[in-house]
Amino acid sequence: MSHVDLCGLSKRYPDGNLAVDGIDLSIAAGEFVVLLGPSGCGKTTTLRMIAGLELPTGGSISIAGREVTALGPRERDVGFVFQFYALYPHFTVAQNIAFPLECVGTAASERDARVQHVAQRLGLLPLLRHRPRQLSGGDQQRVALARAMVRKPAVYLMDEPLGTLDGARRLEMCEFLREQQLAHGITTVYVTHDQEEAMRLADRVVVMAAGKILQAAAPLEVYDQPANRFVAHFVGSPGMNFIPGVMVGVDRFRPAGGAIEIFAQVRDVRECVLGIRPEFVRLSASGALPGRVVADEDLGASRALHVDTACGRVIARVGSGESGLRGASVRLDFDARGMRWFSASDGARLP
Amino acid sequence: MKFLRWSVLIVYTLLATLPLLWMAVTSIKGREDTISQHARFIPTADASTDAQRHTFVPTTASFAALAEVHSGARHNFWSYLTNSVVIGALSTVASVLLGTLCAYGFSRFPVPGAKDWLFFVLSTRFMPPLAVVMPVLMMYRQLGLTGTQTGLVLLYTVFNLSLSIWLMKGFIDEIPRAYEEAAQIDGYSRWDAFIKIIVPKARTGMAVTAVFCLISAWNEYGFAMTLNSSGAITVPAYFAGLQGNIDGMPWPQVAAGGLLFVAPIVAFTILVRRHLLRGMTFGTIKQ
Repeated sequence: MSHVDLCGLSKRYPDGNLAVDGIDLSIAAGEFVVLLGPSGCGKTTTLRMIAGLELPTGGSISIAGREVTALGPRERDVGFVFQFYALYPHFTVAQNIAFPLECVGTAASERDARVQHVAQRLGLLPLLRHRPRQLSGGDQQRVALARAMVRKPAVYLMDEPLGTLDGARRLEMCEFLREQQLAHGITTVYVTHDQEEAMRLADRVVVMAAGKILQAAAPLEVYDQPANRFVAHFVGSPGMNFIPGVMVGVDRFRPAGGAIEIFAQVRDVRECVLGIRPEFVRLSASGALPGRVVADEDLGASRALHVDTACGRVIARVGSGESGLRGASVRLDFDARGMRWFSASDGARLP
Repeated sequence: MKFLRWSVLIVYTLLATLPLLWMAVTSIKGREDTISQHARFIPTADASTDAQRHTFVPTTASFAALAEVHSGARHNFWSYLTNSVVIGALSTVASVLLGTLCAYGFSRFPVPGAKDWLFFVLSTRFMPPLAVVMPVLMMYRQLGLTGTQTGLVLLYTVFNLSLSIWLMKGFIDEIPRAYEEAAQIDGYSRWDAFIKIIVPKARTGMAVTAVFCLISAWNEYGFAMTLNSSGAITVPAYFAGLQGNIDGMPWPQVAAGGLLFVAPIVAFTILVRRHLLRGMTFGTIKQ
């Protein structure tokens, strides 16, 4: 069990692009941290710097209290799972799994035992003699995991390992990964752009954008108490609704273009933005905000109604029974428990 | 449709192999039959003396004669073939090895001005090689490299290096970096990863590159003729040098030697055929 500390970590590529912009992050021993963000936000670069595959241009990295900033990948004792598995195609599954042990010169008898053990845990025993290309994506991914696990590294680093799997396989693997990680308590840093994966897996979600950490908190907190508009919009599907407007009086908020007023506990600002998740927008006959349903998305367990109102497009999440509402005139009501307030200028959450 | 396809193929195959067939037929003729006014190409057992005949009596004398030193030459055919084999093989191995290392560097490391360097490498092929034959000859004289195997090995290696670097760069670019990265994380040094991961994956590319380099070194004539007229003479230069000798051109021997000269290339190409088919389409296959 090893903790990982990133201190002022930066990466500027030779072309001038600043991929990671001085981030600080402390990962506790045994913690499962997910780096979440859109493509190009610097999450993969951060992970690769922890692995030693990229050298930082600023800041430092330590693993288990040992400064590793300038060390090569093999001196860091990490296990890395690649997005496209990176299984050696000219080796069998067993040889692939045994490879990290072979590299460090483990005795053949112990090597075989460890391979058998990890293969059994991952359900790979029947596949040991196959070549990677004979396997399905999910099986290849399990082999890649086995290869990372066989050595019991200080830290697991995973770069969108489930990115190429289909939905059902992905959920299954998510559960499996979480189980394994909980059972062995190995510190894990996991990169994904899939917020659902992040929510399922993480002890702590680190939301990144433009090379910076926007918020690092437990999944529920990121969802419920987003630090700013970007996080609020990126996490959750569909994302949060935003309604800009002004404060009139001490505790009244008036949406731009809207003839309604909403009770708000926001101090010392005039312009602000109301953020509200679709599940806190309700259809109600006595609702204050009238609108027309322009689209009706079936999400399975619920429906997302896209409603055009005087305050702009608002998405409401309703029960799956509420079908056939497209084109209908409805009235919307906002649940005060779901209201979050953001600064109109920089998007930061208002206290 | 099927008929058309087959007829086109058959006609093309005939056109392409006719010179080889003719060479094969010539190699089993007597010298008289090769220079007769009437083309004699039908092997037959009984001799006829009709001047208008198209038949000839096959003989393997020409192959046996390859071991003799023909007038106008200093050694027998086998000694020149040995030169060709040594020079071709060494320069091919050297170009492919150097080209692979160089291409790996360009592919994986941030080389300052990489594009300019690569363009420079390519630009060495813009000029017809024979344009520099005189400077090279003078240089080689100074260095005492004329008439040596080393001289031609060096020259062919350098000429083929640009092709080798460009071809190999294409192949290595296609190999995902993740393989080496995984190996490095698992405990390999970069060199280990290169030898144990990249080289096996680049084998196809190396085979294709080797075929191109070998063919070009094997068939090279201009430099071989100019630089090595006195020693370490290769087969193309040897045959050309037989022209105008006192006994005339030994056509059956030339044909027999030509067949043997083509054979290694054909054998090598067949050997790496499996790689070639995949390699020729490089860049178009998804990982």
